[in-house]
Amino acid sequence: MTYLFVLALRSAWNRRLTLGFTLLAIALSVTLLLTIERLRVDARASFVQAVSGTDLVVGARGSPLQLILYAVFRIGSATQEMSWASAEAIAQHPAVAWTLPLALGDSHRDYPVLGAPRDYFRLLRHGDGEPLRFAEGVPYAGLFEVVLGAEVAERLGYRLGDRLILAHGGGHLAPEHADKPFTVVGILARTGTPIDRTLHVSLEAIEAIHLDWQGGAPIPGLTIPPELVGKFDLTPKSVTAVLVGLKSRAQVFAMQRWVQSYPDEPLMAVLPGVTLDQLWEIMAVAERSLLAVSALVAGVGLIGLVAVILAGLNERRRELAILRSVGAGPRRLMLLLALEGAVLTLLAIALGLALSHLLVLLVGPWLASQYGVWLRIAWPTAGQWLWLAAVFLVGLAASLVPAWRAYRLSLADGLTPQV
Amino acid sequence: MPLIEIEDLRFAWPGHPPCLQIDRFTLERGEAIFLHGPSGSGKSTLLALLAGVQVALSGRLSIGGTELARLHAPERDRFRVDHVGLIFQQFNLLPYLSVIDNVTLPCRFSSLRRQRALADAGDLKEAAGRLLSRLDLAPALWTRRTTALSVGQQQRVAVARALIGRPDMILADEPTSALDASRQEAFLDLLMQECARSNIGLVFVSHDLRLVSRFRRIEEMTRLNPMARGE
Repeated sequence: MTYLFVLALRSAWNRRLTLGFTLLAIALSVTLLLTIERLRVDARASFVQAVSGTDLVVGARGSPLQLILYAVFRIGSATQEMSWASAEAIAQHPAVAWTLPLALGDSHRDYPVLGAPRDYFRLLRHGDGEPLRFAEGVPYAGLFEVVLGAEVAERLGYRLGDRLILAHGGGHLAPEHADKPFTVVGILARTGTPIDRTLHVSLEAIEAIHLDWQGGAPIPGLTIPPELVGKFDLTPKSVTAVLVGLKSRAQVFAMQRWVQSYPDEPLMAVLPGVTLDQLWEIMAVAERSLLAVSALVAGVGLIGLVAVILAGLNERRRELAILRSVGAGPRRLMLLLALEGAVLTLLAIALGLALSHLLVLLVGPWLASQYGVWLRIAWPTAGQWLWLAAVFLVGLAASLVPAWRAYRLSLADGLTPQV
Repeated sequence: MPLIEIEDLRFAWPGHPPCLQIDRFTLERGEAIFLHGPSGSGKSTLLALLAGVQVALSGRLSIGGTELARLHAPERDRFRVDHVGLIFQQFNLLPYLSVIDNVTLPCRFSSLRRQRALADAGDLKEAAGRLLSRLDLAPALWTRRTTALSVGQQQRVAVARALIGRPDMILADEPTSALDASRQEAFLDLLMQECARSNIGLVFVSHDLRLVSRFRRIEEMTRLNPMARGE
């Protein structure tokens, strides 16, 4: 009995080339299945990680999704502004560790301009809690200085010391703040988040370039030259949103209630993760089609397994006849074939798992920097285990087909296969 | 008691009309029989029944006193390796085993054959080696892969495998048809000589009547089996 397994091993070794390719085919489909699933899970997580470390996003009351899309991803239409006094009040709240008031609205050649305090570069986290890093230069210190996101600098070819002009609002025909050019003092390293597409200036700079503006256009007859703006009070009057970090995550709902019931102004506080999850639901269709593709791929691999085993069976009828002649029963031979299929599928799954990890290891850093998708090396999720179990079961079932055929054949052939 | 005893045997392949009917057939221990007949006359079917791969619909078939139909399928598989040596037309050997390992294969599945082989020689390799030597296979070939052997050499290895551990009978299904005419007689001589030496019954199936002269007992399948379709 045990010798039959020795023979099975040697027989498999004898057919190692064919079996090897079958193994590879299934392993590759498992790799694809696992990697696509990991991409799906981690893309979702990475999306949320564009504001990692931020517990609440506060803005004027309206649509939470719109606020998140505009304030974090710079997508969609501008939201109502909230007053500076409210932003100050939130910053003073005892539960709050830090706040980052953000002012959006201006642009430079279709890239959004963000007004933010200098702390922004120290406090903001992205990805897996990574801080911002400077590829070149330093944060802005002076009024008319700008820090560029990696993509802005790369696409528009700006270097440190270059001067550029901001436009009021967005679009090609937006009027320009031509009288107050900005100097590039810093360029951020790539993050794979919307930060890469943003030009950063101080909140005071945003205030300064709008001193002589009203209702979206320069006030006729009034121009305040750059050297004189320092004489004005440049404290912002309003901001677009405030990113809030809490001392303890446990206080997030209490803080949210506090903001929602703020008496002086209708405000809202949004948990970015929850809102982004809602957004992700909308994209579930795309997600499901990705899954369908990977299921198809796995299916093709398994059909290949059946095909190879069936094709090999005709060649093996002689071998089975010899084994029968020395006393191996048809059921035992059937078991042997089923076992071969099971072991092959298991090995392929293991190899697929290893390949998938290797792929994440090799491609992961590139994906993170280019697309902001942070792939993690991790054990398969519950869903992935289910997929793997399904692959194994189908593989087993697939090898039972030839096993059953071998059983029937070895009975019908008698001793001499009719081949 | 005869080695093979058949009475009123009837057989049909599943889903087919009956194709074999043998009223009476016996073979003594150590006796050799030449069984011939056109294809479709039931030669292969009779071999499958004698080997216990198929079971008759009715009638009696006993080998060495054991009624094969009374055994369960796994018992018949065990009985086959214990008592029967088989030689096919060609492709008798497992390509992934050496010559020696192919010869000792029955001893791996049957403790009876193993014990007898060990009684003949000190160990299994030795027992296989002796048989191979008597069958004119040089020791240089023993550790080779079987695919490196000529067809004639392969058939002689198959004979050694059928002989090892002295089974009660050998069933040979056209074992010479893949050989040159000149080699056929030498092969048959070796086979018959070894069977006689160990008192092994031999059922030699062939349609090549040139070999008939070596046998004392000759049986025509169409006469043995009234249901033979013939050609």
